[in-house]
Amino acid sequence: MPSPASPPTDQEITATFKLLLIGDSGTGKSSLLLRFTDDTWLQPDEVSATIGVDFKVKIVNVEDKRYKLTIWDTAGQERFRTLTSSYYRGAQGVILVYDVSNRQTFEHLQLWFTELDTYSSSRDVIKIIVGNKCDKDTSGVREVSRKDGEAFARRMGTLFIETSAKTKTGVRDAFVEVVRKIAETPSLWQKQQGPRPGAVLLNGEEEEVESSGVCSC
Amino acid sequence: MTADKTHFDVIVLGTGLTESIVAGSLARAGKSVLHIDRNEFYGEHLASFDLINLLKVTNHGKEEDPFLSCYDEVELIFQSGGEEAKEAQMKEEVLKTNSVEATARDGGSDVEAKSDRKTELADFLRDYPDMDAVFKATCGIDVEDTVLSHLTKSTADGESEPWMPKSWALLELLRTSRQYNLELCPKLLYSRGGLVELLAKSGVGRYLEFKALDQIYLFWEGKVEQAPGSKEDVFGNQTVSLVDKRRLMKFLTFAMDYEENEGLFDAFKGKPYQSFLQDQKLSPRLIAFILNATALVVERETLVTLSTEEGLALTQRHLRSLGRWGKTAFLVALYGAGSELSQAFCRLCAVYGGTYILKYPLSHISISSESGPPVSVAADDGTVYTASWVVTSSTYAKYFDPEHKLEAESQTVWRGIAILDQPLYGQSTLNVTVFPPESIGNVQGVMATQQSWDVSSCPKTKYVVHFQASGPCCSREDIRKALVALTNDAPADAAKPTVLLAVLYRQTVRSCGTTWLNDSAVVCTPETATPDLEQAPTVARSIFDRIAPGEEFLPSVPDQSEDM
Repeated sequence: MPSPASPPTDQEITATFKLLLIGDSGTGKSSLLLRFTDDTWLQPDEVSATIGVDFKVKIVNVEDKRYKLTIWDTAGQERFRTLTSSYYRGAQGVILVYDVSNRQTFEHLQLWFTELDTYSSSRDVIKIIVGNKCDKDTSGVREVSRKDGEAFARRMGTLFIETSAKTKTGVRDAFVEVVRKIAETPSLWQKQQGPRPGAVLLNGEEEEVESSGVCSC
Repeated sequence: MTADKTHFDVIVLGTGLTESIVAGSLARAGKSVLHIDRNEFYGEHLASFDLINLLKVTNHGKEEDPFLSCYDEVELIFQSGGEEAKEAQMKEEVLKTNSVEATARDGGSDVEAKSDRKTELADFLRDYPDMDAVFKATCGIDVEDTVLSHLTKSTADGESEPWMPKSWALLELLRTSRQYNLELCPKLLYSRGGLVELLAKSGVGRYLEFKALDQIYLFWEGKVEQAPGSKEDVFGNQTVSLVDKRRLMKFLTFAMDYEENEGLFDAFKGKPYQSFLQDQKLSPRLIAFILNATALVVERETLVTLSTEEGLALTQRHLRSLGRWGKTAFLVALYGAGSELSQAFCRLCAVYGGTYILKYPLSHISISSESGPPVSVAADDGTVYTASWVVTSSTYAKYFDPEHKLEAESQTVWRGIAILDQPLYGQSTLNVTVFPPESIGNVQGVMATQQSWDVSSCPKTKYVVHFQASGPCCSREDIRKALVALTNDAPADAAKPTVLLAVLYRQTVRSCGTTWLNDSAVVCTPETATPDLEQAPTVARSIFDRIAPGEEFLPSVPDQSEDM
């Protein structure tokens, strides 16, 4: 069933973007993803750890263009920083998530930037820092002010937004901002649309996929 | 850094391909899995590295480490006559010319440029202290004495240090390190092999990308020949007589479905494949083509002992994989087969709730408990994890209780990785060259696999050739000879590639097949000597069936792109 945000299906897809979620455990990465793609919210006791979310596909309309997003979740491999190098590969956008009610998750963003720098295939990859759980706004609960978040994002040269997967605040904007910025950076995606020429994919859908491009004779 | 949960159904140690398939399949079947590796990377002996990390792993100097100690006898060949050095020399000259002009203007800029360069080199060496040994081995410089101390001395005399151009050239190469994905143990996938089928069926293949291997070459009587990959190739070959062509085609047609014609090889069962091939009246050259370039057997002893049934099975496996993708029977994985495949199965395991801890040294594995959980694994940090089963690579076998000490043999493979400035054979970017034993004065046969930017092995302007030789008495010399045959001794009319940097090393892993120490503990061995990974899914399946009897092995994962 298409969500209300889904545009009509007959329009052509302009591009497919790979987006990643990273950040400490418990910052609500999977919740953000599920809120954005399925508009669902699970109580914390229902999702103690990420199980079963590999990636989600969602089509969004940004400035009259349709984009197909494949958004990858960490599958819990962020817990001991054991994300695979292949997780980072080919991403055009990265969503770095911290929890505004947990200072440490904010401070750890620096480590996530280092990791991203090590594995990311392109230096131009679009990044957004997302301060999640901004519904926890009472004093004594919030540990990272919006100002601190903004200042850090400015220093790192990234986009910034505060969100709440629980109340839906900012969730769609976070993803759409990244898409808008990627769309404005053609160098990121125009050259490498899809797999390389002659690439063989084993996605289990087709029995025989003939190599395209390179002539094999 | 401990998991809050310490009991799991299964603890898997080592992230080689077999262990990773076991971990992924068991998590998929609902078992709780803790997967640990003492290294900070995935893939164990099948891992891929950027250039700097490859040099780090092969020049480790840590004899005690159970993983690193499998790599020794390293030799670095760095030719300053290579493109990098030429470039560096050119830049040097440009600098000189510029500086003559500059000196006329403000004086002393040549000296500045040179000392800048030295500062850059010193900065790099400070950032990568592990590279000291590499600079010492290739450029003959002692980093402490030469580079760093030089900085403190005045360089105002403008004297050009003899080691500088070479060191600078190496630095330039190392600066592109991240564009390399170099496999410790390169692997090919049979296009219709069990692994490819498993990747397609399980959905794990969606994490991966492949390219078809272009060509297989055979070194025969001093020349490199294209091994025919199809019927058209066989008949199009101008150098094979018509009679030989007919014999070869007849044989290949038979081998494709040899089980149906048992009468044809019955008398040779248990006897050498070689004598069966001779009995088919095939010429020595065609026999070499079948044994070395089709069955891909290159070890001298195996060529003699390989039985007719074994040989036919290997030949059939190759023939059946032809024509699916591209011209050969093989696929090459982007970024390195073993590393990427292991990571893909680990990802599956994580998606189904598996817990991952890397860079996590262990101290003890106990499987002798009278009561309580059958397995307990102690980490260096004091945490003890328990489980009903432990599945481990042979790297961790030494941590078991003394009564479970494993009788393991050493499996040695000599390897070389050469970075070239040109491809070996013009257009073809992904290919294999097989050197049969004694074809170039080598003892053991050598397989040389060329990779390129097409599979993200290296920058677009470079090529990488992996060499391997295994079997008794295999040696560095076998690798050297093959390297020379493909570069220095390449025919004059062909473009002669220059070796920019070559790393020769010995890989020795503990080999014990697949051994169950008791009902809860199994040790498996990485496939280092074979050119493929066909054993891993079979071994993983047998382990899975014992731990989760009756469960389906890696059923297809639901396609999440459909819930949009």
